[in-house]
Amino acid sequence: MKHHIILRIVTKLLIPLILLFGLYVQFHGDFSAGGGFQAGVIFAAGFILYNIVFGLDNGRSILSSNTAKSLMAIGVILYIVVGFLGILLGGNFLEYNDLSSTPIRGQLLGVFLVELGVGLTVSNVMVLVFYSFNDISMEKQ
Amino acid sequence: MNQLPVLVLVLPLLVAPILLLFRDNRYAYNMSLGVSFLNLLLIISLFQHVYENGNMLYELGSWEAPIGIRLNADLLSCYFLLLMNFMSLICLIAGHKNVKSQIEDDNIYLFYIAWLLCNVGFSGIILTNDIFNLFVFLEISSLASYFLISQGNYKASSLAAIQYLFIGSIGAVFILFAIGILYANTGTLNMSDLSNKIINNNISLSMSLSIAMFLIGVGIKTALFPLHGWLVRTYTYAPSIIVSYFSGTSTKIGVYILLRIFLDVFHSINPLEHYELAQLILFLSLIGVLLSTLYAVKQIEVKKMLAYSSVAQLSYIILAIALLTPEGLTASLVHVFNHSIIKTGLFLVVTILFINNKDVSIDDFSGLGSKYPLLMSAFLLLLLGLIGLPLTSGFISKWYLVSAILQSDYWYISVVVLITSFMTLFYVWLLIEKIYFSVSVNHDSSIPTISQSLCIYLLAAITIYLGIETSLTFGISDQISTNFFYNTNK
Repeated sequence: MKHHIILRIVTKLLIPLILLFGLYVQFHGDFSAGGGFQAGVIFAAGFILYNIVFGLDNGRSILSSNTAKSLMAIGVILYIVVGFLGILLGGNFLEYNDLSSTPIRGQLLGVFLVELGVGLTVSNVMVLVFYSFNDISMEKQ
Repeated sequence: MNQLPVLVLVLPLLVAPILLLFRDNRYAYNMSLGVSFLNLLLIISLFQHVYENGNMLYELGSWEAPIGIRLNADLLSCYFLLLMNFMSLICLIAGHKNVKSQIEDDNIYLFYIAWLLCNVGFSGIILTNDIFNLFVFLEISSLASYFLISQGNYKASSLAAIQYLFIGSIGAVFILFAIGILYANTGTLNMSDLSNKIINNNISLSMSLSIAMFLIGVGIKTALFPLHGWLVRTYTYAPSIIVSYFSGTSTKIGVYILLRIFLDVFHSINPLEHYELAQLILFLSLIGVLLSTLYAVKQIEVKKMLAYSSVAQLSYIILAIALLTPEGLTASLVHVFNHSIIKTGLFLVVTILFINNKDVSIDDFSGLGSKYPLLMSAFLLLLLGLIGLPLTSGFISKWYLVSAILQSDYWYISVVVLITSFMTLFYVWLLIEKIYFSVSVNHDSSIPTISQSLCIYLLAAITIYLGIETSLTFGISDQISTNFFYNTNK
């Protein structure tokens, strides 16, 4: 990829925008279209673009597949722990009303945390799918 | 107490990602064993609660149904839930040695994670009161099972997993479309709400389409006769411990979905009767019973033989449902429980004794009767249960099945049931003859550990127990079918 100077420059320009848009979709999900799932995919798309243009070795030095696996698990754990908090605070599973001072704030906080978990898991799953396809084609060569 | 339904689902779901963080095989096994045991205890207390106080609703996040998602634990779900989790626990205990020797070292912890997720999927399908959630949990369990099947040590294992993936996905897509049509027609996804909104006089063409799609999707999952090809292939190439696990759970989930959708959600139009689907299903399952029993007699490979026998027994279950009488439903529910115990026990014996064999032929059993007298007598008991000899649970289910058939309009079917039971005797006898009356002794079989043998003894003991004391199987099943047919307080 050393020769494709236009590709590299454009990618460098694009990646921050993609990641920013991913974060926007993640945190603005409660007011407009969006949420953890979409944001996770967009965020992962930015990272996968980086991998394609600058090579997988560079990509893996940022996020190894083991780290991605752990983050994937942590996302699910975050979701379920927030759900359990609802039970511990005297409500039902995934009940956010008591998470903060008022029910509305509680709902906001609860949805925020749960969607964060979803985003974390989805983006890492996407990256892992990309990595494992690469592993398969490496094995064949 | 009122958190029980959600705990049953969420505990294994929490443990699975934690195991992924640790990546330790021993820890993974111990944790999944622990959480399965805990889950079984929770389910037993849930069952008791539901039995005494009627069904238990649980609103997730306290959002009220039909807007929110609701879990519904009634007797039918508790009955299946108990069966699934008991089977899972038994197979986990008995299969530890097999998993260690058959599965690659790097994959063992993933194997147990997938196992837990598969179990979560089954429990979710059973507990949820939201029809879309049913689909989601179906996918969770299917995805996990594709991985589990691909771990077999055959060359064809991955291929079998891919084939199962394609067929399973086709089935799932049919179910998804059916759900979509239902949602478009009624504007709700909650099952209780759906069954209220689907009323007899407004069956549109699209609703009929939805019913047909449900039938195909569920038919694939239950291995209903013409759609049963995947089952034999999967059972032959999957890791043998997974075959033992799935023989008691995976197809029974299809039976559960069939009951839930056709007798509960479509309660008011009763599509099986309205479209004369019952006759079609009855006819297909009759052919299924006959053909698969014939195939089973012909097989030399034991796992294939048992797989065909599973298809035949599942056809009995579906046949009993298609009679559309309360007695038929009771018989099918009794047989679900009894057959799961017996078939899992049989597969477990094959699994335990032949860890390294890829194909287990009938000859491999020669002379084992003198080598492992206790284990083989348990095996014999399970085989007799499969035929349906008195004092075993198999007799109870055959008895109720035949009497349900005699009480219905299709009394002549009972002849087929009796003939196929007799044919079962053929292939079972081939095994018994090898085990007890063979001169040569097979020395290649692996030695079972104490915990493995105990699991088999337990299953054999349950077969006898359920053949004498039927309050768990018949009592509960009878109550469930009474609720479905006469009672409307759902």
